Amino acid sequence: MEQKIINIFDVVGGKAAVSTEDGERLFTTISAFLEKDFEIVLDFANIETLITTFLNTAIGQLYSKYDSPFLREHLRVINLAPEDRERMVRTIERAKEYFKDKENIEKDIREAFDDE
Amino acid sequence: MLTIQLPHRIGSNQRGFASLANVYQQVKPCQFGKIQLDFQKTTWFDANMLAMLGAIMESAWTNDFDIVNLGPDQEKIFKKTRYSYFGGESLPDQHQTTVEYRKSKVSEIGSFEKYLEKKLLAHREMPRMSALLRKKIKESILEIFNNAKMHGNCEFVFSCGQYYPRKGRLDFTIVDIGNTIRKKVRDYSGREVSGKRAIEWAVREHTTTRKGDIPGGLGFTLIRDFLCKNEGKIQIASADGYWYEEGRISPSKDLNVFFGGTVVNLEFNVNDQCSYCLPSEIEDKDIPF
Repeated sequence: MEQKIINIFDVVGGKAAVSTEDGERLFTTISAFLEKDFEIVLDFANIETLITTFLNTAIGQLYSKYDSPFLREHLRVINLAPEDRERMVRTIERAKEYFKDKENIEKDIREAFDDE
Repeated sequence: MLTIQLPHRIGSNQRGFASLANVYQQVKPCQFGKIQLDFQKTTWFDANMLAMLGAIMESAWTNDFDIVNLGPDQEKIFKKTRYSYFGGESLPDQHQTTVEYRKSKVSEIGSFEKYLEKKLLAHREMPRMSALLRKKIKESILEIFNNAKMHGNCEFVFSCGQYYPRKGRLDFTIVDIGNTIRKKVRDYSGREVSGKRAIEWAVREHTTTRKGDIPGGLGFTLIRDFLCKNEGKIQIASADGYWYEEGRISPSKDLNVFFGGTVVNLEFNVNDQCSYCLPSEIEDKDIPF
């Protein structure tokens, strides 16, 4: 499998990965290489600020198109700041849950207001 | 001309939010008129609450506003924050206890991030915070900014902050005039939920009003987790609801007056010595895609 290293600093143009637009750009880039069956390495070197809205758009959204075994085989992360790893893990867990049974989740949420 | 008497005290609390929501109610129906905001009785106004006042004045932008009887001390504070009413006029903030007032386009999170770096985190009077604490504070504020952009359907976000050296607290307020949380939750759930119930639901883990391919429902959870460890506080006022969390207590209440936007006030304990970097057993290679 061919490998593609995507430098996040380069994608967002700085050390803050915070905007949904940048997240969308990264999502599009990752998707394009996944379609060509590349192994993708996401390099977070020098990224100092990372928030969930960026991660949801860039990474979480991938689960709308690909399943977990496929992404595990094709996606890797390097140089993620230790304190950001938990954020990344929780984003991924949340995305899996969100897409696992979206209809039921929405139903459950609506039921939360049944007593209104 | 409409004259609005501001109350005795505007603090960063339920009463302060309700008082300014009351101002919002009065200015909302006015167009192309003159509105006088009379501060004669006001002896205290938390600088960070200028974010809410600024948003309210913006929501009635066709009117001419006149701020009158502002006490000299308050005028000083307003000018230290570079409050836009004074046309950008500023006074030196010798002790650097205010964080500049700012009206930001929601599309410009990059410049908002730089503003946080320069006007908030670089304050020399701030205690020496660990790099991780600074990072957590910045990320929490940026999450709220993006939340306003994604859910508020608004053009601008208003922000302002106040640092209290003796208390070791930093209050930072972010306001948008757009969709209220109640409206978003009502549209999503199809239920006539109250403002307070809507906020309660919106801040719960794994809840989101999004329906598309981008997951949500994590931002508030991370902020709440952080503020709990930090011994800080979060307050939200939106529509007719008010909610706060401090320690493990998180009650919601009726605001009793409708505010057509969302105010989020974050209070950070800047003397916090926690490192927040738990010895993570997760390595890059263990990220569970």
